[in-house]
Amino acid sequence: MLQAPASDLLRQGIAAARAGDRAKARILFRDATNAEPTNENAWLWYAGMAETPFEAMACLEHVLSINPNNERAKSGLKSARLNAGVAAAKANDRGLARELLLRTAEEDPNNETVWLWLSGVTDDPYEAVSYLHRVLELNPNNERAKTGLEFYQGRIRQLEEHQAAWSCPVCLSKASEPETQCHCCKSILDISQHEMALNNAEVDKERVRVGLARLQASLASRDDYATHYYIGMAFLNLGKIDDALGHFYDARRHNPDDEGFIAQVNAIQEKWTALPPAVPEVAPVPADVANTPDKPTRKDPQFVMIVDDSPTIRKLVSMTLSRVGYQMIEAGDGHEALERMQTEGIPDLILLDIGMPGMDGFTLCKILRNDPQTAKIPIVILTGKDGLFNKIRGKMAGSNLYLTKPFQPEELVQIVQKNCGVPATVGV
Amino acid sequence: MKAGYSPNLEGDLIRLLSILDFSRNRLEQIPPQKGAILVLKQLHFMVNAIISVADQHITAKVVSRDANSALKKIIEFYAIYRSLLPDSPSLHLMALFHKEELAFQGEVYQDLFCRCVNLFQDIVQSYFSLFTQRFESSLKARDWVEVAAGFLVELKQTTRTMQATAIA
Repeated sequence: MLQAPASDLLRQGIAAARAGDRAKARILFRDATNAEPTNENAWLWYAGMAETPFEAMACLEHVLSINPNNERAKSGLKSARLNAGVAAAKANDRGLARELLLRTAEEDPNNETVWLWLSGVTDDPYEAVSYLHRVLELNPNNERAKTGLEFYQGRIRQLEEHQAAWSCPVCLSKASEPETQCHCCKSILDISQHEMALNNAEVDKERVRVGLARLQASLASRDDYATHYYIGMAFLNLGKIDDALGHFYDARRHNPDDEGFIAQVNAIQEKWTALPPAVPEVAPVPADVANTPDKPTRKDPQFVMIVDDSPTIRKLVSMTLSRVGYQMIEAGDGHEALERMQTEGIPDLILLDIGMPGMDGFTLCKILRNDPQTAKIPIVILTGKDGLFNKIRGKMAGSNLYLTKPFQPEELVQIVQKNCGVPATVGV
Repeated sequence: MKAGYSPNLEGDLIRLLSILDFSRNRLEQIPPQKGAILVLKQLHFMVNAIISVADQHITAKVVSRDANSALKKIIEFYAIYRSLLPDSPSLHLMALFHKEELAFQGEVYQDLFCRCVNLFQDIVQSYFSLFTQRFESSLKARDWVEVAAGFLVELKQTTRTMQATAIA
Protein backbone atom coordinates (compact mmCIF):
# COMPACT_ATOMS: atom_id res chain seq x y z
CA MET A 1 0.00 0.00 0.00
CA LEU A 2 2.81 2.37 0.88
CA GLN A 3 4.90 1.52 -2.23
CA ALA A 4 2.82 3.45 -4.75
CA PRO A 5 2.61 6.87 -2.98
CA ALA A 6 6.31 6.68 -2.01
CA SER A 7 7.40 6.07 -5.60
CA ASP A 8 5.04 8.83 -6.81
CA LEU A 9 6.44 11.22 -4.24
CA LEU A 10 9.95 10.24 -5.25
CA ARG A 11 9.18 10.80 -8.94
CA GLN A 12 7.64 14.21 -8.22
CA GLY A 13 10.59 15.11 -5.99
CA ILE A 14 13.11 14.19 -8.70
CA ALA A 15 11.15 16.33 -11.20
CA ALA A 16 11.18 19.26 -8.77
CA ALA A 17 14.91 18.78 -8.08
CA ARG A 18 15.68 18.76 -11.81
CA ALA A 19 13.59 21.91 -12.27
CA GLY A 20 15.72 23.58 -9.58
CA ASP A 21 12.96 23.85 -6.97
CA ARG A 22 14.96 22.58 -4.01
CA ALA A 23 12.44 23.51 -1.33
CA LYS A 24 9.61 21.56 -2.96
CA ALA A 25 11.93 18.66 -3.77
CA ARG A 26 13.10 18.49 -0.17
CA ILE A 27 9.53 18.28 1.15
CA LEU A 28 8.65 15.56 -1.35
CA PHE A 29 11.76 13.52 -0.56
CA ARG A 30 11.09 13.86 3.16
CA ASP A 31 7.56 12.56 2.62
CA ALA A 32 8.88 9.76 0.41
CA THR A 33 11.35 8.65 3.09
CA ASN A 34 8.59 8.80 5.71
CA ALA A 35 6.33 6.72 3.49
CA GLU A 36 9.02 4.16 2.74
CA PRO A 37 11.92 4.39 5.20
CA THR A 38 13.85 1.56 3.51
CA ASN A 39 13.97 3.19 0.08
CA GLU A 40 17.69 3.91 -0.50
CA ASN A 41 17.04 6.09 -3.54
CA ALA A 42 14.68 8.36 -1.64
CA TRP A 43 17.27 8.85 1.11
CA LEU A 44 20.00 9.50 -1.47
CA TRP A 45 17.93 12.15 -3.22
CA TYR A 46 16.98 13.64 0.15
CA ALA A 47 20.69 13.87 0.99
CA GLY A 48 21.29 15.69 -2.29
CA MET A 49 18.65 18.28 -1.43
CA ALA A 50 19.56 18.61 2.26
CA GLU A 51 19.78 22.11 3.68
CA THR A 52 22.91 21.49 5.70
CA PRO A 53 25.79 19.05 5.36
CA PHE A 54 24.83 17.61 8.75
CA GLU A 55 21.37 16.73 7.43
CA ALA A 56 22.99 15.19 4.32
CA MET A 57 25.28 13.13 6.56
CA ALA A 58 22.31 11.82 8.55
CA CYS A 59 20.51 10.80 5.32
CA LEU A 60 23.58 9.06 3.91
CA GLU A 61 24.24 7.23 7.18
CA HIS A 62 20.66 6.03 6.96
CA VAL A 63 21.31 4.71 3.44
CA LEU A 64 24.37 2.85 4.68
CA SER A 65 22.38 1.38 7.56
CA ILE A 66 19.99 -0.03 4.93
CA ASN A 67 22.69 -1.11 2.49
CA PRO A 68 26.28 -0.94 3.78
CA ASN A 69 27.62 -1.56 0.26
CA ASN A 70 26.01 1.46 -1.40
CA GLU A 71 29.00 3.09 -3.10
CA ARG A 72 27.21 6.35 -3.88
CA ALA A 73 26.30 6.77 -0.23
CA LYS A 74 29.86 5.98 0.82
CA SER A 75 31.41 8.56 -1.50
CA GLY A 76 28.64 11.06 -0.73
CA LEU A 77 29.21 10.63 2.99
CA LYS A 78 32.89 11.50 2.54
CA SER A 79 32.10 14.79 0.86
CA ALA A 80 29.18 15.50 3.22
CA ARG A 81 31.49 14.95 6.19
CA LEU A 82 34.06 17.27 4.65
CA ASN A 83 31.37 19.90 4.04
CA ALA A 84 30.10 19.45 7.58
CA GLY A 85 33.64 19.88 8.91
CA VAL A 86 34.09 23.04 6.84
CA ALA A 87 30.71 24.37 8.00
CA ALA A 88 31.65 23.66 11.63
CA ALA A 89 35.00 25.39 11.12
CA LYS A 90 33.27 28.43 9.63
CA ALA A 91 30.88 28.47 12.59
CA ASN A 92 33.98 28.44 14.82
CA ASP A 93 33.09 25.05 16.34
CA ARG A 94 36.70 23.90 16.15
CA GLY A 95 36.24 20.72 18.19
CA LEU A 96 33.50 19.32 15.97
CA ALA A 97 35.27 20.53 12.81
CA ARG A 98 38.46 18.79 13.89
CA GLU A 99 36.66 15.55 14.67
CA LEU A 100 34.83 15.49 11.32
CA LEU A 101 37.87 16.52 9.31
CA LEU A 102 40.13 13.98 11.01
CA ARG A 103 37.65 11.26 10.17
CA THR A 104 37.51 12.45 6.56
CA ALA A 105 41.30 12.52 6.42
CA GLU A 106 41.45 8.92 7.63
CA GLU A 107 39.05 7.85 4.89
CA ASP A 108 40.51 10.00 2.13
CA PRO A 109 44.16 10.79 2.94
CA ASN A 110 44.84 12.12 -0.56
CA ASN A 111 42.34 14.95 -0.31
CA GLU A 112 44.40 18.12 0.11
CA THR A 113 41.34 20.23 1.03
CA VAL A 114 40.82 18.16 4.20
CA TRP A 115 44.42 18.65 5.34
CA LEU A 116 44.22 22.35 4.54
CA TRP A 117 41.10 22.83 6.65
CA LEU A 118 42.54 20.65 9.42
CA SER A 119 45.51 22.98 9.65
CA GLY A 120 43.07 25.84 10.19
CA VAL A 121 41.21 24.24 13.10
CA THR A 122 44.16 23.05 15.13
CA ASP A 123 45.64 25.10 17.97
CA ASP A 124 49.10 23.59 17.76
CA PRO A 125 51.28 25.30 15.09
CA TYR A 126 53.54 22.22 14.81
CA GLU A 127 50.52 20.07 14.03
CA ALA A 128 49.26 22.66 11.53
CA VAL A 129 52.65 22.68 9.81
CA SER A 130 52.59 18.88 9.53
CA TYR A 131 49.14 19.07 7.88
CA LEU A 132 50.31 21.77 5.49
CA HIS A 133 53.38 19.74 4.57
CA ARG A 134 50.98 16.95 3.74
CA VAL A 135 49.05 19.32 1.42
CA LEU A 136 52.28 20.34 -0.30
CA GLU A 137 53.28 16.70 -0.71
CA LEU A 138 50.01 16.15 -2.55
CA ASN A 139 50.18 19.40 -4.50
CA PRO A 140 53.50 21.29 -4.29
CA ASN A 141 51.97 24.37 -5.94
CA ASN A 142 49.09 24.92 -3.52
CA GLU A 143 49.44 28.63 -2.79
CA ARG A 144 47.11 28.61 0.21
CA ALA A 145 49.18 25.89 1.82
CA LYS A 146 52.37 27.85 1.13
CA THR A 147 50.87 30.99 2.67
CA GLY A 148 49.58 28.99 5.65
CA LEU A 149 52.96 27.33 6.08
CA GLU A 150 54.70 30.71 6.15
CA PHE A 151 52.20 31.91 8.76
CA TYR A 152 52.58 28.89 11.05
CA GLN A 153 56.35 28.77 10.60
CA GLY A 154 56.38 32.42 11.67
CA ARG A 155 54.38 31.49 14.76
CA ILE A 156 56.73 28.62 15.51
CA ARG A 157 59.70 30.96 15.11
CA GLN A 158 58.09 33.38 17.55
CA LEU A 159 57.48 30.56 20.01
CA GLU A 160 61.01 29.24 19.66
CA GLU A 161 62.56 32.67 19.96
CA HIS A 162 61.14 32.76 23.47
CA GLN A 163 62.77 29.45 24.25
CA ALA A 164 65.91 29.46 22.12
CA ALA A 165 68.88 31.74 22.48
CA TRP A 166 71.01 30.50 19.59
CA SER A 167 70.45 29.55 15.95
CA CYS A 168 72.76 27.58 13.66
CA PRO A 169 74.25 30.04 11.14
CA VAL A 170 74.11 27.37 8.42
CA CYS A 171 70.66 25.78 8.70
CA LEU A 172 69.06 28.36 11.08
CA SER A 173 67.74 25.69 13.46
CA LYS A 174 67.32 26.92 17.04
CA ALA A 175 68.93 25.67 20.20
CA SER A 176 68.88 26.77 23.82
CA GLU A 177 72.67 27.28 23.87
CA PRO A 178 75.48 27.61 21.28
CA GLU A 179 76.55 24.32 19.72
CA THR A 180 79.87 23.39 18.12
CA GLN A 181 78.02 20.78 16.08
CA CYS A 182 74.53 21.70 14.96
CA HIS A 183 71.93 19.22 16.22
CA CYS A 184 69.95 19.65 13.01
CA CYS A 185 72.30 19.77 10.00
CA LYS A 186 75.14 18.12 11.98
CA SER A 187 77.72 20.52 10.59
CA ILE A 188 80.78 21.30 12.72
CA LEU A 189 80.89 25.04 13.38
CA ASP A 190 84.18 25.40 15.23
CA ILE A 191 87.31 25.79 13.10
CA SER A 192 89.46 24.15 15.79
CA GLN A 193 87.62 20.91 14.93
CA HIS A 194 88.46 21.18 11.22
CA GLU A 195 89.57 17.56 10.99
CA MET A 196 86.21 16.38 12.25
CA ALA A 197 84.48 18.80 9.87
CA LEU A 198 86.38 17.49 6.85
CA ASN A 199 85.54 13.89 7.73
CA ASN A 200 82.01 14.64 8.85
CA ALA A 201 80.04 11.64 7.63
CA GLU A 202 76.81 12.46 9.43
CA VAL A 203 76.38 15.96 7.97
CA ASP A 204 73.07 16.64 6.22
CA LYS A 205 74.56 17.82 2.92
CA GLU A 206 71.24 18.96 1.51
CA ARG A 207 70.60 21.33 4.42
CA VAL A 208 74.16 22.58 4.36
CA ARG A 209 73.99 23.32 0.61
CA VAL A 210 70.77 25.27 1.04
CA GLY A 211 72.28 27.17 3.98
CA LEU A 212 75.44 27.78 1.97
CA ALA A 213 73.46 29.28 -0.92
CA ARG A 214 71.67 31.58 1.54
CA LEU A 215 74.94 32.65 3.18
CA GLN A 216 76.58 33.29 -0.20
CA ALA A 217 73.60 35.31 -1.38
CA SER A 218 73.76 37.35 1.83
CA LEU A 219 77.39 38.27 1.04
CA ALA A 220 76.04 40.89 -1.38
CA SER A 221 74.59 42.83 1.55
CA ARG A 222 76.77 41.59 4.47
CA ASP A 223 80.36 41.01 3.49
CA ASP A 224 81.83 40.46 6.98
CA TYR A 225 83.98 38.14 9.07
CA ALA A 226 81.13 35.98 10.41
CA THR A 227 79.58 35.36 6.99
CA HIS A 228 82.89 34.31 5.43
CA TYR A 229 83.73 32.20 8.49
CA TYR A 230 80.49 30.21 8.34
CA ILE A 231 80.63 29.87 4.55
CA GLY A 232 84.11 28.42 5.05
CA MET A 233 82.84 26.04 7.73
CA ALA A 234 79.96 24.94 5.49
CA PHE A 235 82.45 24.20 2.69
CA LEU A 236 84.65 22.27 5.14
CA ASN A 237 81.68 20.15 6.17
CA LEU A 238 81.03 19.42 2.50
CA GLY A 239 84.69 18.44 2.04
CA LYS A 240 85.54 21.41 -0.23
CA ILE A 241 88.76 22.51 1.36
CA ASP A 242 89.95 24.94 -1.35
CA ASP A 243 86.65 26.83 -1.32
CA ALA A 244 86.70 26.84 2.47
CA LEU A 245 90.20 28.28 2.57
CA GLY A 246 89.20 31.02 0.12
CA HIS A 247 86.53 32.20 2.54
CA PHE A 248 88.78 31.81 5.58
CA TYR A 249 91.28 34.16 3.87
CA ASP A 250 88.46 36.67 3.37
CA ALA A 251 87.42 36.27 7.00
CA ARG A 252 91.02 36.90 8.02
CA ARG A 253 91.06 40.07 5.93
CA HIS A 254 88.05 41.35 7.93
CA ASN A 255 89.56 40.37 11.28
CA PRO A 256 93.40 40.38 10.98
CA ASP A 257 93.98 40.50 14.77
CA ASP A 258 92.45 37.14 15.62
CA GLU A 259 95.65 35.12 16.02
CA GLY A 260 93.88 31.95 17.10
CA PHE A 261 91.81 31.94 13.93
CA ILE A 262 94.84 32.62 11.70
CA ALA A 263 96.73 29.78 13.36
CA GLN A 264 93.85 27.42 12.66
CA VAL A 265 93.70 28.51 9.00
CA ASN A 266 97.46 27.94 8.66
CA ALA A 267 97.07 24.53 10.26
CA ILE A 268 94.35 23.56 7.79
CA GLN A 269 96.47 24.76 4.90
CA GLU A 270 99.58 22.90 6.04
CA LYS A 271 97.80 19.71 6.77
CA TRP A 272 95.27 19.41 3.97
CA THR A 273 96.59 21.24 0.93
CA ALA A 274 99.68 21.32 -1.20
CA LEU A 275 99.69 25.13 -1.21
CA PRO A 276 102.62 27.09 0.31
CA PRO A 277 102.25 27.31 4.10
CA ALA A 278 102.12 31.07 4.47
CA VAL A 279 98.79 32.82 4.26
CA PRO A 280 98.88 34.97 1.12
CA GLU A 281 98.88 38.73 1.58
CA VAL A 282 96.21 39.24 -1.03
CA ALA A 283 93.23 37.06 -0.37
CA PRO A 284 91.83 35.12 -3.31
CA VAL A 285 88.64 36.34 -4.89
CA PRO A 286 85.70 34.73 -3.10
CA ALA A 287 83.61 32.21 -4.96
CA ASP A 288 80.87 33.83 -6.94
CA VAL A 289 77.51 34.06 -5.25
CA ALA A 290 75.85 31.62 -7.57
CA ASN A 291 78.89 29.41 -8.05
CA THR A 292 78.29 26.76 -5.42
CA PRO A 293 79.60 23.22 -5.50
CA ASP A 294 77.76 20.19 -6.75
CA LYS A 295 75.12 22.20 -8.55
CA PRO A 296 73.04 19.53 -10.24
CA THR A 297 72.68 19.82 -13.99
CA ARG A 298 69.72 18.52 -15.92
CA LYS A 299 69.87 16.31 -18.94
CA ASP A 300 66.22 16.84 -19.80
CA PRO A 301 65.90 19.99 -21.93
CA GLN A 302 62.38 20.99 -20.94
CA PHE A 303 62.69 22.66 -17.57
CA VAL A 304 61.62 26.29 -17.28
CA MET A 305 61.98 28.41 -14.16
CA ILE A 306 59.60 31.28 -13.45
CA VAL A 307 60.85 33.84 -10.94
CA ASP A 308 58.10 36.27 -9.96
CA ASP A 309 56.85 37.60 -6.64
CA SER A 310 53.22 37.31 -7.75
CA PRO A 311 51.91 33.77 -7.11
CA THR A 312 49.17 34.40 -9.66
CA ILE A 313 51.64 35.11 -12.46
CA ARG A 314 53.78 32.12 -11.41
CA LYS A 315 50.78 29.84 -11.56
CA LEU A 316 49.52 31.31 -14.85
CA VAL A 317 52.89 30.88 -16.52
CA SER A 318 53.16 27.35 -15.11
CA MET A 319 49.68 26.51 -16.37
CA THR A 320 50.46 27.91 -19.82
CA LEU A 321 53.77 26.13 -20.25
CA SER A 322 52.93 22.85 -18.55
CA ARG A 323 50.01 22.51 -20.98
CA VAL A 324 52.55 22.28 -23.80
CA GLY A 325 54.80 19.83 -21.97
CA TYR A 326 57.34 21.90 -20.03
CA GLN A 327 58.31 21.08 -16.47
CA MET A 328 58.08 24.15 -14.28
CA ILE A 329 60.09 25.36 -11.30
CA GLU A 330 58.66 28.34 -9.42
CA ALA A 331 60.54 30.85 -7.26
CA GLY A 332 59.28 33.99 -5.50
CA ASP A 333 62.50 36.02 -5.60
CA GLY A 334 66.17 35.91 -6.56
CA HIS A 335 67.34 34.14 -3.40
CA GLU A 336 64.71 31.43 -3.73
CA ALA A 337 65.62 31.02 -7.41
CA LEU A 338 69.25 30.35 -6.48
CA GLU A 339 68.19 27.90 -3.78
CA ARG A 340 65.88 26.06 -6.17
CA MET A 341 68.73 25.80 -8.68
CA GLN A 342 70.89 24.27 -5.93
CA THR A 343 68.32 21.66 -5.05
CA GLU A 344 66.50 21.02 -8.31
CA GLY A 345 69.11 21.71 -10.95
CA ILE A 346 69.71 24.31 -13.61
CA PRO A 347 66.70 25.06 -15.80
CA ASP A 348 66.85 25.40 -19.57
CA LEU A 349 65.18 28.80 -19.61
CA ILE A 350 64.38 31.40 -16.98
CA LEU A 351 61.42 33.77 -17.03
CA LEU A 352 62.31 36.60 -14.72
CA ASP A 353 60.38 39.47 -13.18
CA ILE A 354 62.28 42.67 -12.40
CA GLY A 355 60.62 44.16 -9.34
CA MET A 356 60.81 41.63 -6.55
CA PRO A 357 61.45 41.90 -2.82
CA GLY A 358 64.89 40.74 -1.68
CA MET A 359 67.04 40.17 -4.74
CA ASP A 360 65.56 41.83 -7.83
CA GLY A 361 65.59 40.49 -11.39
CA PHE A 362 68.53 42.57 -12.64
CA THR A 363 70.78 41.39 -9.80
CA LEU A 364 69.81 37.75 -10.31
CA CYS A 365 70.37 38.09 -14.06
CA LYS A 366 73.90 39.46 -13.47
CA ILE A 367 74.71 36.70 -10.96
CA LEU A 368 73.58 34.03 -13.39
CA ARG A 369 75.56 35.54 -16.24
CA ASN A 370 78.73 35.63 -14.12
CA ASP A 371 78.45 31.96 -13.21
CA PRO A 372 79.94 29.70 -15.91
CA GLN A 373 77.30 27.04 -15.20
CA THR A 374 74.39 29.37 -15.82
CA ALA A 375 75.94 31.90 -18.18
CA LYS A 376 74.35 30.37 -21.28
CA ILE A 377 70.78 29.91 -20.00
CA PRO A 378 68.29 31.98 -22.01
CA ILE A 379 66.76 34.59 -19.70
CA VAL A 380 63.48 36.22 -20.67
CA ILE A 381 62.43 39.20 -18.60
CA LEU A 382 58.67 39.22 -17.97
CA THR A 383 57.66 42.41 -16.26
CA GLY A 384 55.01 45.10 -15.99
CA LYS A 385 57.65 47.84 -16.44
CA ASP A 386 57.77 48.71 -20.11
CA GLY A 387 60.03 51.79 -20.18
CA LEU A 388 63.02 51.99 -22.50
CA PHE A 389 65.35 52.53 -19.52
CA ASN A 390 64.31 49.21 -17.98
CA LYS A 391 64.70 47.44 -21.32
CA ILE A 392 68.27 48.76 -21.60
CA ARG A 393 69.01 47.73 -18.00
CA GLY A 394 67.66 44.26 -18.75
CA LYS A 395 69.86 43.98 -21.81
CA MET A 396 72.89 45.18 -19.86
CA ALA A 397 72.20 42.66 -17.09
CA GLY A 398 72.36 39.92 -19.73
CA SER A 399 68.75 39.06 -20.57
CA ASN A 400 67.92 37.66 -24.00
CA LEU A 401 64.39 39.00 -24.37
CA TYR A 402 62.06 41.49 -22.75
CA LEU A 403 58.34 40.71 -22.49
CA THR A 404 55.78 42.98 -20.86
CA LYS A 405 52.78 42.04 -18.78
CA PRO A 406 49.96 41.28 -19.23
CA PHE A 407 51.36 38.44 -21.27
CA GLN A 408 49.69 36.61 -24.13
CA PRO A 409 49.85 32.84 -23.52
CA GLU A 410 50.45 32.01 -27.22
CA GLU A 411 53.27 34.54 -27.50
CA LEU A 412 54.89 33.20 -24.33
CA VAL A 413 54.75 29.62 -25.59
CA GLN A 414 56.28 30.65 -28.93
CA ILE A 415 59.12 32.49 -27.24
CA VAL A 416 59.87 29.63 -24.85
CA GLN A 417 59.77 27.09 -27.68
CA LYS A 418 62.09 29.23 -29.77
CA ASN A 419 64.65 29.65 -26.98
CA CYS A 420 64.39 26.32 -25.20
CA GLY A 421 63.21 23.81 -27.80
CA VAL A 422 59.87 22.05 -28.19
CA PRO A 423 59.34 19.38 -25.54
CA ALA A 424 58.83 15.82 -26.69
CA THR A 425 55.47 15.67 -24.92
CA VAL A 426 53.83 18.54 -26.85
CA GLY A 427 50.21 17.89 -27.50
CA VAL A 428 49.86 15.36 -24.71
CA MET B 1 31.37 17.55 -23.69
CA LYS B 2 29.43 20.11 -21.65
CA ALA B 3 26.97 22.20 -23.68
CA GLY B 4 28.47 25.56 -24.57
CA TYR B 5 31.94 24.49 -23.45
CA SER B 6 34.64 26.18 -25.47
CA PRO B 7 38.12 24.66 -25.84
CA ASN B 8 39.54 28.20 -25.73
CA LEU B 9 38.13 28.80 -22.26
CA GLU B 10 41.29 28.04 -20.32
CA GLY B 11 43.46 30.15 -22.64
CA ASP B 12 41.04 33.06 -22.41
CA LEU B 13 40.97 32.80 -18.62
CA ILE B 14 44.77 32.77 -18.43
CA ARG B 15 44.83 35.92 -20.55
CA LEU B 16 42.11 37.51 -18.41
CA LEU B 17 43.84 36.69 -15.15
CA SER B 18 47.11 38.02 -16.50
CA ILE B 19 45.35 41.33 -17.27
CA LEU B 20 43.60 41.38 -13.91
CA ASP B 21 46.78 40.66 -11.97
CA PHE B 22 48.64 43.35 -13.90
CA SER B 23 45.81 45.81 -13.14
CA ARG B 24 45.81 44.77 -9.48
CA ASN B 25 49.51 45.62 -9.30
CA ARG B 26 48.77 49.00 -10.85
CA LEU B 27 46.02 49.57 -8.29
CA GLU B 28 48.54 48.98 -5.51
CA GLN B 29 50.90 51.54 -7.03
CA ILE B 30 48.33 54.36 -7.28
CA PRO B 31 49.34 57.01 -4.75
CA PRO B 32 46.61 57.61 -2.12
CA GLN B 33 46.42 61.37 -2.76
CA LYS B 34 45.58 60.80 -6.45
CA GLY B 35 43.54 57.72 -5.57
CA ALA B 36 39.85 57.76 -6.22
CA ILE B 37 39.55 58.63 -9.91
CA LEU B 38 42.44 56.43 -11.01
CA VAL B 39 41.23 53.56 -8.85
CA LEU B 40 37.70 53.80 -10.21
CA LYS B 41 38.96 53.86 -13.78
CA GLN B 42 41.17 50.86 -13.17
CA LEU B 43 38.26 48.94 -11.63
CA HIS B 44 36.12 49.93 -14.63
CA PHE B 45 38.81 48.61 -16.96
CA MET B 46 38.99 45.32 -15.03
CA VAL B 47 35.21 44.86 -15.10
CA ASN B 48 35.25 45.49 -18.86
CA ALA B 49 37.95 42.83 -19.27
CA ILE B 50 35.81 40.32 -17.36
CA ILE B 51 32.74 41.18 -19.43
CA SER B 52 34.60 40.67 -22.70
CA VAL B 53 35.48 37.10 -21.65
CA ALA B 54 32.01 36.50 -20.23
CA ASP B 55 30.51 37.58 -23.57
CA GLN B 56 32.35 34.74 -25.26
CA HIS B 57 31.76 31.98 -22.75
CA ILE B 58 28.61 32.74 -20.78
CA THR B 59 26.09 32.83 -23.58
CA ALA B 60 22.35 33.43 -23.39
CA LYS B 61 21.81 29.65 -23.42
CA VAL B 62 23.61 29.14 -20.14
CA VAL B 63 22.10 32.05 -18.25
CA SER B 64 21.19 30.95 -14.76
CA ARG B 65 20.23 32.52 -11.48
CA ASP B 66 23.91 33.07 -10.68
CA ALA B 67 24.52 34.72 -14.05
CA ASN B 68 21.54 37.02 -13.54
CA SER B 69 22.73 37.99 -10.11
CA ALA B 70 26.24 38.71 -11.47
CA LEU B 71 24.72 40.83 -14.22
CA LYS B 72 22.75 42.84 -11.66
CA LYS B 73 25.96 43.54 -9.79
CA ILE B 74 27.59 44.80 -12.98
CA ILE B 75 24.65 47.11 -13.67
CA GLU B 76 24.86 48.48 -10.13
CA PHE B 77 28.63 48.89 -10.45
CA TYR B 78 28.24 50.91 -13.66
CA ALA B 79 25.49 53.00 -12.06
CA ILE B 80 27.71 53.92 -9.11
CA TYR B 81 30.69 54.50 -11.39
CA ARG B 82 28.65 56.87 -13.54
CA SER B 83 27.27 58.68 -10.52
CA LEU B 84 30.77 59.18 -9.11
CA LEU B 85 32.29 60.16 -12.47
CA PRO B 86 29.35 61.54 -14.46
CA ASP B 87 31.40 63.39 -17.07
CA SER B 88 33.99 60.71 -17.67
CA PRO B 89 34.70 60.69 -21.42
CA SER B 90 34.46 57.31 -23.05
CA LEU B 91 37.26 57.95 -25.55
CA HIS B 92 40.91 58.11 -24.54
CA LEU B 93 41.62 61.10 -26.81
CA MET B 94 38.83 63.09 -25.23
CA ALA B 95 40.15 62.17 -21.78
CA LEU B 96 43.41 63.96 -22.59
CA PHE B 97 41.62 67.31 -22.75
CA HIS B 98 39.23 66.72 -19.92
CA LYS B 99 39.81 67.40 -16.24
CA GLU B 100 37.81 64.93 -14.27
CA GLU B 101 36.31 65.50 -10.88
CA LEU B 102 34.36 63.36 -8.50
CA ALA B 103 30.68 64.24 -8.31
CA PHE B 104 30.57 63.71 -4.54
CA GLN B 105 32.83 64.43 -1.62
CA GLY B 106 32.88 63.50 2.06
CA GLU B 107 30.80 60.70 3.48
CA VAL B 108 28.66 60.26 0.36
CA TYR B 109 31.79 59.70 -1.70
CA GLN B 110 33.20 57.27 0.88
CA ASP B 111 29.99 55.22 0.93
CA LEU B 112 29.71 55.10 -2.85
CA PHE B 113 33.40 54.34 -3.31
CA CYS B 114 33.34 51.50 -0.79
CA ARG B 115 30.15 50.11 -2.35
CA CYS B 116 31.78 50.29 -5.77
CA VAL B 117 34.85 48.39 -4.54
CA ASN B 118 32.68 45.78 -2.80
CA LEU B 119 30.63 45.33 -5.94
CA PHE B 120 33.80 44.93 -7.96
CA GLN B 121 34.98 42.21 -5.57
CA ASP B 122 31.59 40.46 -5.86
CA ILE B 123 31.64 40.73 -9.65
CA VAL B 124 35.06 39.11 -9.87
CA GLN B 125 34.02 36.30 -7.53
CA SER B 126 30.70 35.70 -9.29
CA TYR B 127 32.20 35.60 -12.75
CA PHE B 128 35.09 33.40 -11.63
CA SER B 129 32.55 30.96 -10.26
CA LEU B 130 30.54 31.15 -13.52
CA PHE B 131 33.67 30.56 -15.58
CA THR B 132 34.50 27.56 -13.38
CA GLN B 133 31.10 26.06 -14.15
CA ARG B 134 31.87 26.32 -17.87
CA PHE B 135 34.73 23.84 -17.67
CA GLU B 136 34.17 20.42 -19.14
CA SER B 137 34.87 18.69 -15.84
CA SER B 138 35.92 19.63 -12.33
CA LEU B 139 39.27 17.93 -12.93
CA LYS B 140 40.01 20.23 -15.85
CA ALA B 141 38.97 23.24 -13.78
CA ARG B 142 41.35 22.37 -10.96
CA ASP B 143 44.33 24.46 -12.09
CA TRP B 144 42.14 27.43 -12.87
CA VAL B 145 40.36 27.20 -9.50
CA GLU B 146 43.66 27.13 -7.67
CA VAL B 147 45.15 30.13 -9.43
CA ALA B 148 41.86 32.07 -9.27
CA ALA B 149 41.56 31.39 -5.52
CA GLY B 150 45.08 32.72 -4.96
CA PHE B 151 44.32 35.79 -7.04
CA LEU B 152 41.10 36.48 -5.10
CA VAL B 153 43.01 36.44 -1.82
CA GLU B 154 45.46 39.01 -3.18
CA LEU B 155 42.66 41.08 -4.67
CA LYS B 156 40.83 41.12 -1.34
CA GLN B 157 43.95 42.48 0.37
CA THR B 158 44.33 45.16 -2.30
CA THR B 159 40.69 46.27 -2.16
CA ARG B 160 40.74 46.29 1.64
CA THR B 161 43.73 48.64 1.59
CA MET B 162 42.00 50.84 -0.99
CA GLN B 163 38.87 51.11 1.13
CA ALA B 164 40.88 51.89 4.23
CA THR B 165 42.71 54.65 2.34
CA ALA B 166 39.45 56.07 1.00
CA ILE B 167 37.91 56.19 4.47
CA ALA B 168 41.04 57.71 5.99
